[in-house]
Amino acid sequence: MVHDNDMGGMRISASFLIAFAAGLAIVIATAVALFQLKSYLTGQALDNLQRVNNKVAFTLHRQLDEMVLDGRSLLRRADVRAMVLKALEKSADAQTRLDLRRLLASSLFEHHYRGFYLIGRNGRIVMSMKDADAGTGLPREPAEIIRRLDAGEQAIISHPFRYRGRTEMWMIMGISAADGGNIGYLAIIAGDRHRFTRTTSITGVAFESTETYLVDRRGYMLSESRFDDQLLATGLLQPGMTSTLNLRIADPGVNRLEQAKAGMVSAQAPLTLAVTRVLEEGSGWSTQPYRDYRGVPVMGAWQWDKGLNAAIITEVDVDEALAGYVYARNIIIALLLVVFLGGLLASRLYSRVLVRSERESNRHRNLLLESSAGGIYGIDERGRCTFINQAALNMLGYEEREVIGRNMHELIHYAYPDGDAYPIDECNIYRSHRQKTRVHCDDECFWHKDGHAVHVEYWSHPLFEEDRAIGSVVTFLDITPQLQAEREREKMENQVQHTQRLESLGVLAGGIAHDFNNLLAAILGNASLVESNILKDPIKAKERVAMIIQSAEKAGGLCKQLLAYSGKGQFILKPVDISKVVEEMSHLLEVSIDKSVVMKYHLAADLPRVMVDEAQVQQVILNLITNANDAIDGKSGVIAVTTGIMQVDRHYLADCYGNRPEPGRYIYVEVSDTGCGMSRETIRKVFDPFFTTKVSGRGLGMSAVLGIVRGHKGALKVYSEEGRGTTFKFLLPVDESVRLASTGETGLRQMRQFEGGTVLVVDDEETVREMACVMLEEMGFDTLTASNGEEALALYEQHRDRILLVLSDLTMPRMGGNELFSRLRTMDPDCRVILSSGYSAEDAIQQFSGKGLAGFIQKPYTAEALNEEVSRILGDGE
Amino acid sequence: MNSLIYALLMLAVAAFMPRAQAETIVIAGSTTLIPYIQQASEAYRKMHPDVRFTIHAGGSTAGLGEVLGGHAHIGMMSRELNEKEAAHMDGFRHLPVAVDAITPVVSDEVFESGLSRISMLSLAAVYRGEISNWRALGGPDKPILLIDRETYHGTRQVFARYVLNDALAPVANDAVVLEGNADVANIIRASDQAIAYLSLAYLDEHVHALAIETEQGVFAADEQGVKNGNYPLARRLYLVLPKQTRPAVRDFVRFVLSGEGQKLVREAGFIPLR
Repeated sequence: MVHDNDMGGMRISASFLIAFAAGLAIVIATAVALFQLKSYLTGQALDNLQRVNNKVAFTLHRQLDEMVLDGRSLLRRADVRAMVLKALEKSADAQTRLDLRRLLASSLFEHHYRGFYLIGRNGRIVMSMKDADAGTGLPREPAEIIRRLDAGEQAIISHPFRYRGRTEMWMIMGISAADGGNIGYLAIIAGDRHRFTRTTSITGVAFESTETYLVDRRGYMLSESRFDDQLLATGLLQPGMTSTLNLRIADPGVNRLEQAKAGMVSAQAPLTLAVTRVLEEGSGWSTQPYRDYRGVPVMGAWQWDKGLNAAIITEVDVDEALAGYVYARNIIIALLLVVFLGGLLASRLYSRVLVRSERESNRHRNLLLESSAGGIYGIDERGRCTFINQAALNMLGYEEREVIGRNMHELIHYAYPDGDAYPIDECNIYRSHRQKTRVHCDDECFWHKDGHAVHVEYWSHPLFEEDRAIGSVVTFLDITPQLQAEREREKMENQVQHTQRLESLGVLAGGIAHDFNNLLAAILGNASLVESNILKDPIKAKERVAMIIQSAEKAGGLCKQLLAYSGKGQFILKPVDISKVVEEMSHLLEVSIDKSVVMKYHLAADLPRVMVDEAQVQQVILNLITNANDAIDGKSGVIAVTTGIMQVDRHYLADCYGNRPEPGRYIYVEVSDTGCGMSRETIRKVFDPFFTTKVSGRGLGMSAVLGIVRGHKGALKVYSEEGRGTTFKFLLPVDESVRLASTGETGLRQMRQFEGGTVLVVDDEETVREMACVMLEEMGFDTLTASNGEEALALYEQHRDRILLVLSDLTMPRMGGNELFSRLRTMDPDCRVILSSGYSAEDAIQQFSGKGLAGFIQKPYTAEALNEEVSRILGDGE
Repeated sequence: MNSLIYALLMLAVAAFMPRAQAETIVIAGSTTLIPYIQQASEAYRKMHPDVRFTIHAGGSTAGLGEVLGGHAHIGMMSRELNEKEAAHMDGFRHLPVAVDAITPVVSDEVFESGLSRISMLSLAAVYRGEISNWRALGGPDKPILLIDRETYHGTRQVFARYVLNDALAPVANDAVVLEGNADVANIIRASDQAIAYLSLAYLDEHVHALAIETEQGVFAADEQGVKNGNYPLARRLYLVLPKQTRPAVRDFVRFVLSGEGQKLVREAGFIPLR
């Protein structure tokens, strides 16, 4: 079973750390950005406040200047001045007063003033819009202004003050006499448009909460609060009161908008920060929030205006000034939250998907593991089991919990099959991750829980993580049944071989009996002739005796061969030359086949010897030939027996029968017939014991052959085509040590040396040409070479005195060997030509018979074959 | 958790939505209507903070001109259309929104002397300059301070048509001629001998209305007198606006005509239509 792993946990915690760090970075960056935004917005708000404050100051001055201008232009009018002076000098009658009132009223009321007071030198009202005012005194504020006017000032605008139940503001000018002193004063009553509030409530406000107000030295408001409604609602003002002159700009201590109905603020309450500072320092500002007269946190800018003799304070609620900041902050927090939650959701979904797919893949893996008939387990680099499948547990007799985490070598692999201790350092399995290589082994065993050995074939495959082997996966099969089957099969094969031997002996015996019969017949016949002639014709009798002796000798040879075949019951390996074995068997073989069948031998000379049991090899050959004979089935046909040596690769061995033969050099014996051939079906079953296509066969021959081939670590190849024939190729591995030894014995076979002379070698294939030259030069010849017939003709013409022989290929471009031969013969009838070709010698000889062809050599040829052919042509005398 | 995420997403979407475009409604014309229109616009803004108002005075004639010329969305008129003007009203509405009355007003001292009514003839005589002392009318022995308005004001035209039989009739040339109703009210308050005529909206404890005495009887400028048609100086107040106009303008006018709007008419000192 595969369980969830710690690596996953580590990965998750690592990614959590990364996510946490990224989140922290985002939060820090956001905090910095928000701080920047806040200070930017604070700066903006302050700029705004100062701009508004300055604008209010400027507008107020202009507004007051206009009042002064209005007053002056009025007084400058001659009719007004004349009537005013008249009114001041003596008490005017009703009509005069009406006229003056009309005159002033049409100017003043049109400019939104509320009336006028003509004040005498004595500080008492001389005249106004109402007769009743005449003679009344002035309130404190205008009286003070008149003193200042007498001191030299031209026109002064009062602060608001209470007069007859109303809040009034007067602009008072001196009316100068000719000598320069004031003979009276004209006060013009400001209308709504001339109040401070007119400017503070229009120029001094902005947005929702910016307001500008004027405060006198005592800390009382001179303009009207923008928030009169709030002040009334929170009890900071009594109903019917306006803020002008009634509102002391004191800090109520709490935000009164949040704690309404707390009543008036005590007269001892400290003034707000703005008022305190403006009274102490003049101009200034505060971006640090402080409470205004409503207790609302504000930031403000202020200045002390000397002309107005009042402070101009502009303030904005912090909430509004930083609304943009709060807005942006909320959006960013919302976005961050969305991103965070989105990320959380995504990661949850992702991990759910991950877990599901991991579970799925685990399920698949488990299914794979559990459905495998082979045992599979994993080990970490220290050899402890990380997982194991049920098949493995079944084979080893353990429970999963008994195995996981245990050292597998100590648990199941502690001893060799023979019981010797298997040190952990030598463990083949661990080698795979120690050496990062795949390990295969089929001769060790795992130990069952109950202590018996389980013979296994196992593969250990290293597991890598970034080039580091972190463990191995071991796959194994219980091969105990196979081993047993193998043993049984061997036993069976031995029996089959034995039986087969007896069977072929029977076949052999039949043939031999026939021969012996003939020989005995000859002996008997001759003996009876001797008997009858010995006295009549002793000479004839002697001839018969000689024939008897000859027949007896033949019979003796036959016996010797029979003995050689049957006399060796035991498996005795010795170095053998296969060609010789075939050669020695030839008589035996010939008696075993039908007379209509021709045996052909192509036996390679000087084959390396192979270590074989000669008798068994003989039986293989005999079996193959008997089968070939049976395949020809009494018709005329050819059985060819060829021996040779060849290099065999894995690919070639892939479709060979045998016991896992290894690539290398092999000696082969090929038996091919021109018989009926075999179907694919037959080929598949040909080695099965007791399978036969013959009427009388017992079906053991081929299985015996395969058994013998296996026994010699050889291979067997079958080619067959139905109706065309069959070829069995029986391969025996060359024992290199034997070959070396035999080389010392037979490799020194003398090649005949020649004394000079030139051979013209004609072949279009350069390698063949050069090889022939080397061989011929070793024999003592000089060589000339030509790559085609035309060249060869030219060379022959040029060097015909020197040339002993022409060795020519048969097939060449431009002019082939055939034409070259006839042209040479025409040119020089004594010319000796050896043709070489891939075709068989028989074909070539047939084609050139009677045409004077000196010789033929079949390609590829050995130095020995060439030497032999050359010797034959040049004759011993050469 | 999902609903929380949805809520946050909605919040984010809302945060990025463009804010509604502020609309400005320009209103011009009669000063009589200004106190009412100011109150109405403030009340309307409490419900529609995205709408702003720009309000100019200038008189009924000017207000009509501004609307016809396309410089204002709404004109305020304190009088009927004359024939010439009516000819230009194609595509425009002349919409009554309130009923007003013009009443003669006097200062505290005059009123307190016991003078509370004036006959139409006396009023005409005062304005023609034929009577110049309050004593002649039963008041104090004080010369009369006569206050008139510029002739392009609806109030003046309505007053003159009734009292002097001609909307543009001249008055005594020593009259003080003023621009706005508010200035007129100011001078009545400031003086102890003044007479003027004003819209009902400008009356207060220092600005006293006089009942008018005609052959039919004595009529005070009160709701009853105005509504039953006996009070001779009643008039309707109008808004003028194009028939095709912006939705915000139409909506504001609907508000003016609504029950709530008409309640404000009364608060402003006028008489509601219904």
